[in-house]
Amino acid sequence: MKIELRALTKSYRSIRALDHVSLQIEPGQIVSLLGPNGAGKTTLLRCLAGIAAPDSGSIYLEERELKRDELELRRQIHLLPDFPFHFWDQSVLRNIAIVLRIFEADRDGAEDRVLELLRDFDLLPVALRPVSSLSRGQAYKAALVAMIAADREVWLLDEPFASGMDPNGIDAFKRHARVAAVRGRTILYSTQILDVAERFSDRACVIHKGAIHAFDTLESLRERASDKGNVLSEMFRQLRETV
Amino acid sequence: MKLHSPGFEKGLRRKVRRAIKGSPELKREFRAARKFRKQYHITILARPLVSLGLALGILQIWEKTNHVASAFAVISLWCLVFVFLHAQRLITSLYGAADLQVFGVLPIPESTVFKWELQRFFVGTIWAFADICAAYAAIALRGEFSLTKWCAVVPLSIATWIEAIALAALCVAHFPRFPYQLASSLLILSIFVLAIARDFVGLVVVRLIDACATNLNLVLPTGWPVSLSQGLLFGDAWAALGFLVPTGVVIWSLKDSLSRLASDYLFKEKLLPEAPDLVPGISDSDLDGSSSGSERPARLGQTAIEEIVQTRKFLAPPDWGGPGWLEATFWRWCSKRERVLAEFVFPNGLAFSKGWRSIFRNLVITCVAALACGLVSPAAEMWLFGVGLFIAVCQVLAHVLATGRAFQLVPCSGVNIHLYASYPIGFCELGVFLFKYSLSQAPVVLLFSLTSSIVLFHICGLSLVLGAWAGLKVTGLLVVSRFLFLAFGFSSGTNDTSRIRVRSMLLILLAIAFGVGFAALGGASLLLPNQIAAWLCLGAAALDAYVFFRLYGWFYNRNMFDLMSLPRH
Repeated sequence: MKIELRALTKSYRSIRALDHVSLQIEPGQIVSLLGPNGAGKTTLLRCLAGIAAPDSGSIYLEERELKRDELELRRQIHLLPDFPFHFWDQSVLRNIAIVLRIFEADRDGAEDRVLELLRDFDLLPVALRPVSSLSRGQAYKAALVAMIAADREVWLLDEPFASGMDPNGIDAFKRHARVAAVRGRTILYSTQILDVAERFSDRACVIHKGAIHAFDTLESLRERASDKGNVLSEMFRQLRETV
Repeated sequence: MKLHSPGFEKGLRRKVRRAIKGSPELKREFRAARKFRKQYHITILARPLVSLGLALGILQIWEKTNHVASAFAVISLWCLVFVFLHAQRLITSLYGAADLQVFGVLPIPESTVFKWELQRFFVGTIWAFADICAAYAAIALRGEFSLTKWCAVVPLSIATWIEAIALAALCVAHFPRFPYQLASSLLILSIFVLAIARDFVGLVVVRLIDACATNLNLVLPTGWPVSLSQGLLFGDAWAALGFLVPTGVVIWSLKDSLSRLASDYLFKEKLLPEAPDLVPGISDSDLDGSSSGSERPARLGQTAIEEIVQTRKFLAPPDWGGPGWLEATFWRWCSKRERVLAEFVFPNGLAFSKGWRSIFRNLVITCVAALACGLVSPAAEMWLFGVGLFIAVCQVLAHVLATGRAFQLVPCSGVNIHLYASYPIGFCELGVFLFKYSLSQAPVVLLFSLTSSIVLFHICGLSLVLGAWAGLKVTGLLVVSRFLFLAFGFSSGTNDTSRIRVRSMLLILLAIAFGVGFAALGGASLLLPNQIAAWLCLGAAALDAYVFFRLYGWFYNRNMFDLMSLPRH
């Protein structure tokens, strides 16, 4: 699903979190959102999820403007924040089932997908336990399984690599996200881990003080950079120097 | 109690100030942050106006009734409001304070955290003390007190204040599940409506208070220190000393209530025994029964779990056709999507029959106690019934206006949002579902309203037929008020984080206008003697509530505000 942001502006009182941000993200891409703390990454995700209301500008998904009453469109977006939402007293399976039903994604075949994901994320043995009895990483993985199983057009993830997931979980997430991108899903995630962003994204979007500093494929960014091995680190160094 | 190091903070503050001075950008940020602080000061400046309003109200009531007892009765009622308000504040301070998350990861014993939060709660009650002082000062001014009496006002104000706090602590320690927030909101709303419509209902209320002022101060626990004050300052000091005993007992109970709360205080992660597996379609008790005798919780093997997944057992929608007739009717009425929403909003199932049984039990006890009391004192009968009915009505509202988990605030990347807002759930679909939830309880609401209004009219010596009509209208008002409460429910987690904008102000004005309109039309539908006009007013009130719900939805759907609120510090 093509995402288009047209001159999106959002302020928190006197602080401008997004300043006329215009972006066009083609479907089937994994985009990492990068930037210093307070740059506007999370605000961008919030605007896309419909939680924050932009002061001006608009968001289009496949040429349709995103409004809160456009439920059909909203059902194509799935947000996973840094601390996932859960019904903590319910089992992992029940949580997954509720999410699938809310997104109307409990169609035939969903059970096979859930089973595969539970195995991949090592959650099968704890699938019937209440989420409150799981570790933070396991709880995050449970929310991630629900997200991947629901398989919406747009995945929004806030700091998935700082979620407490074990290496196997991170690996499984990357694998499934890559397969989903091939199927045409658009995946946006924010991160501060530049090594991960360099290896696991088709495009990097660097935000600084609410404005897009760079939005390009990693290859293009590397071509322009002097230190080709650490293109994103170099970009961050430059940002600090401009401050 | 101080949980910080003043010396360290002073040094840190000095260094920060130096850093800000050296950087123009930091200076700009500092100035922006100061703007927030200024808004906070405006709130502090506005609060004394409430104390002043109370003092003026007391002077006016004394002027109109020429009875000092009526002026004191206002203090009793005001303190009653504060009991509910402080009970809610105490619960929020102890179990919902923002700093508890921080304390959870610091090596601080729970007893220290309890004391710290309690201290913050006590500091927050200062405004209640200011109100009481202002109220007593108004009486002292009007009564042209001597210096000795003026001196007596201070300890009496303190006694009244501490007694109200002790009552709040008593309520929280013994009845923690009571909907205090709802009760205090209702009382504050009533004061607000009274202040606005004082030209229409003011005189009736003044007469009502005047007729039962002495009984009121006798029946209400918040009236005991007030009666003590009245006796000491105006009447027979020796007889008034009799009120020292109940006042002292309530104040003495504060220690017991606080130690009871402290003994159960656990804000940190509690180590519970391992939870058993939650198997779809099998209740916890069945599973517990199967594992009785073994120390390990009931667990299913991996193959059994795989089977549950593969056979889609976990995806089977819940069947909540029971346990009661009410639940079954509601469940049958829900569409497929609404059943999904029901599972989301009430994940532990629907169970409102049990709550209604307890409400009717309380109503019967209230009616019997009030009618029995009426044999001795007719005025006390009315107030006893009034207090009992108020508590029962709070329970009814908590049931009829329940929103389950929908409006539960959850943290989301640094802000709080309502749980529903994190999923593609629309304003209208959730609103209609919750309205249906209220409407499905209309039969029991009707039974409750009819019973209580007939008894109330009997106590007041009015026609029972009129009581039945009033019961019908109250049911209608309760159900349609859901639309207003829904809009306020959605609004409770929203925010306009941008600059102050015309549209936000417009929405606030609309909310006030429609809220006042609903109260006025609802009041008129109950008070107008002409039944046709009264029912027309009820219809107009329903329309008012529905139109506001749709208007709010219009703002909501056009992204006019954020669906998040910043965490409170």
